[in-house]
Amino acid sequence: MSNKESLKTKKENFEKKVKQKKVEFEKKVKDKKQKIQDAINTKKQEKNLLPPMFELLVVVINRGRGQAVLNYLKSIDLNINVVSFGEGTAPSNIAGLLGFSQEKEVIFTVVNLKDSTKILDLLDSIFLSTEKYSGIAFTIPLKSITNNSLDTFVETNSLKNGGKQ
Amino acid sequence: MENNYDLVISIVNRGHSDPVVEASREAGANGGTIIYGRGTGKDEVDTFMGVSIQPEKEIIMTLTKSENKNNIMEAICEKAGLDAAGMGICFSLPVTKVRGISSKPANQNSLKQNNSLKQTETKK
Repeated sequence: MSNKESLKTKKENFEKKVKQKKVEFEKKVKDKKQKIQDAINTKKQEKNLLPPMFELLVVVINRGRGQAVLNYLKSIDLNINVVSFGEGTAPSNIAGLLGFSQEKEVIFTVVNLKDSTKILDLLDSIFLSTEKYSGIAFTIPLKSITNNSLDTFVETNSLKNGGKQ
Repeated sequence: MENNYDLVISIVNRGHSDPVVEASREAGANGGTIIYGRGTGKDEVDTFMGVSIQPEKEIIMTLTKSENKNNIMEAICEKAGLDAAGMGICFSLPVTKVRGISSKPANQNSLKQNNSLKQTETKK
């Protein structure tokens, strides 16, 4: 009898363990499904965000020529500019023989996506394709940007009327 | 010129940009631009007698065609030692439009200039 009872208790314990494991497994599966659903929801939300509207325009030009480019950018109302000084990496023997300096100015500007092609073409025709101002310009897409005057900038590509006073 | 270009950016300690530039040139890059900065990482900033010291950095920007980007980044990591901890980082950004870049490599252009100079000298 005692053997039967012990077998019975063993069976009950085993069934309990199986039930417990089943419950834990179902909970894990539920959690994973929830995580997947959350990931899908966040992706959907990202799709509902505004499409990218801005690009970072980078102009690399010889030292001393940057002011003319900056003045031109300001004249077409591109006022978010940062200028950094740098050096080109052409082989120093060639640079020395041809007698040109490797010092550069790097100008970073934020432009509207819809105008970036036009602005690049203008820069190319006025500056980059000339011998005096030869350099390169390219644009990098911006995923997000914050600024106090952003809505004014979006409409007019200008900060003249925006900003806190 | 709306074809596929990428901007490879490498950030290394000041004075260590030459191996990066050589490695990128060997892998097919035409050249780049170096700008200067300071590192602000937690492990990098040191204090000496209450004064914080930030290490100086060189930021090497190399504009390349997308098909060469992976080769250039691998070459930079192997030859400039960026695989080792604390030696620097290398990453790339997409470029949507480019102006002012010539499709021919710099070496060919310089040879042509030298040849044209020689011709003008002999004519004289």
